[in-house]
Amino acid sequence: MKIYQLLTLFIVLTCFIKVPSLAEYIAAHKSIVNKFTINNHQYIKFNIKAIEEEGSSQEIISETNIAGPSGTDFDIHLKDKRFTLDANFITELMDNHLIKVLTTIKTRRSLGLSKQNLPIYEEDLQNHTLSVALDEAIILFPFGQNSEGSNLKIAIEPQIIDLPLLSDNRPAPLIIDLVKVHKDGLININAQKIPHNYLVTAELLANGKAVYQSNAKLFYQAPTELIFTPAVQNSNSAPLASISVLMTINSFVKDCPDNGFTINFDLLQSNINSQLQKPLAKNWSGAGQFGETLTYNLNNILPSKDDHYQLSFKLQQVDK
Amino acid sequence: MDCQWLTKISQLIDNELSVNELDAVRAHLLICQQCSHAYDDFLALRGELNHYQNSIDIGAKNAALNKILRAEHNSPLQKRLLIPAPAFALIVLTVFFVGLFTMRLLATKSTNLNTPQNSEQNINANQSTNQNNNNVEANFAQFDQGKRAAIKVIKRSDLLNNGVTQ
Repeated sequence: MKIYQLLTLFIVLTCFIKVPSLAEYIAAHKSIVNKFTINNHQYIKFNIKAIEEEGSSQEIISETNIAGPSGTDFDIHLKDKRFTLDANFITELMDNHLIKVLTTIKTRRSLGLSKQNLPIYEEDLQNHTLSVALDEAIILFPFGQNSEGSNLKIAIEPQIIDLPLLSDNRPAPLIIDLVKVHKDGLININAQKIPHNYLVTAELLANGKAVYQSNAKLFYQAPTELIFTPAVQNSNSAPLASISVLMTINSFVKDCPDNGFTINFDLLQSNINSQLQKPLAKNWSGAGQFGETLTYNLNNILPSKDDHYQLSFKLQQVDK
Repeated sequence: MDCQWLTKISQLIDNELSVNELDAVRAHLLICQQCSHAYDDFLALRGELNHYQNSIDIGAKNAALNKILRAEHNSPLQKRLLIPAPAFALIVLTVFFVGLFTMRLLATKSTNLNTPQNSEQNINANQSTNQNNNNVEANFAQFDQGKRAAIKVIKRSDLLNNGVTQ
């Protein structure tokens, strides 16, 4: 092949090769740099092991790892023919590297049949608030702790880990790693991430006008007392002066356009002389969307000929 | 073919004529061309028939015979069951009444189980069934001493020192 033929071939080939612009060069460079730059995001990991303990020997019968951002919650379900355990763990990593854990433990044990051939169950409900350091572990004994003989225990060990962000700078999704599944599937673990911190504005109204108000931070499923302060000077609504509310956010509902919630609350009346609180109403409940006002009529419990009393709540999400 | 002697020609071939008739028919054959042709045709036909019978293959004959014999020795399932109509009706009625009786007997037994007199036995039976089921399915029964669930926080080193084995 002669030189002029080679030159012709070269010119023809270069016509088909697309030469990138400077902007395209820069974008490609950035993408390569991003690929090799690790943006870590702090996650909390829970290692959950179910352990059968017989004397000094122990055997892990199920193991799961859960990893997610701070505020990742999980549930442990254990069920066999006669016994059911539903343990719900709401966790939040605090500033001092302690983990606040609100746990609800529900158990149900079959005790056989009645004379009428009806099943008899023993049910139990416990609520605990725990503070767990990173060098500590939570131990749950579904059947209680037997000093002698065999034990079943569930060990929950928290740990802080760093996970790289996704390519679009979003944190990685929840990770549930089933290391060892129970051979009969009697132990199940769920995990979820929902907002835990909320703001509530409560008002006590007389004839439609707010006379007492309260602003408080609420933590998911933690009962919190709302103390009211006068909203107007020289209020003469004496029946409302000693009232407080014990409120719990029971559930968070993912909804569109606004997320929703369910609450329940007790209405308490303080006795100034004895420092005791008398419940005026118990287990009132409600459901709504964040930003909207829920209003309750109080005339049934605070009867008055002249005034019409109401209680209103407005909730806001603090963390998304 | 309208000669009156044709019948006699046939009888001649079959040797069914008397001596007198035989001479007369033979004399007629000499003068009647029609009967003479018929006589030749009959003879030719008889010859063909005789030839056909002789040419039957012995192998084919045996095969046909075997087929007939096999048909006689068919399995009982292949044979058609021939039952007289009254006997068939009797069998159907017997099956119907036996079925009716069995159903009534079962219904009576289940009613007896639900009566109050047997309720205690029934409960015991259910309990024993439940106990049996429990033995099969209650994997955690060995840990259950009727105590309340407990939760506590311990140092992780205390957990690790227990030498958990996998």
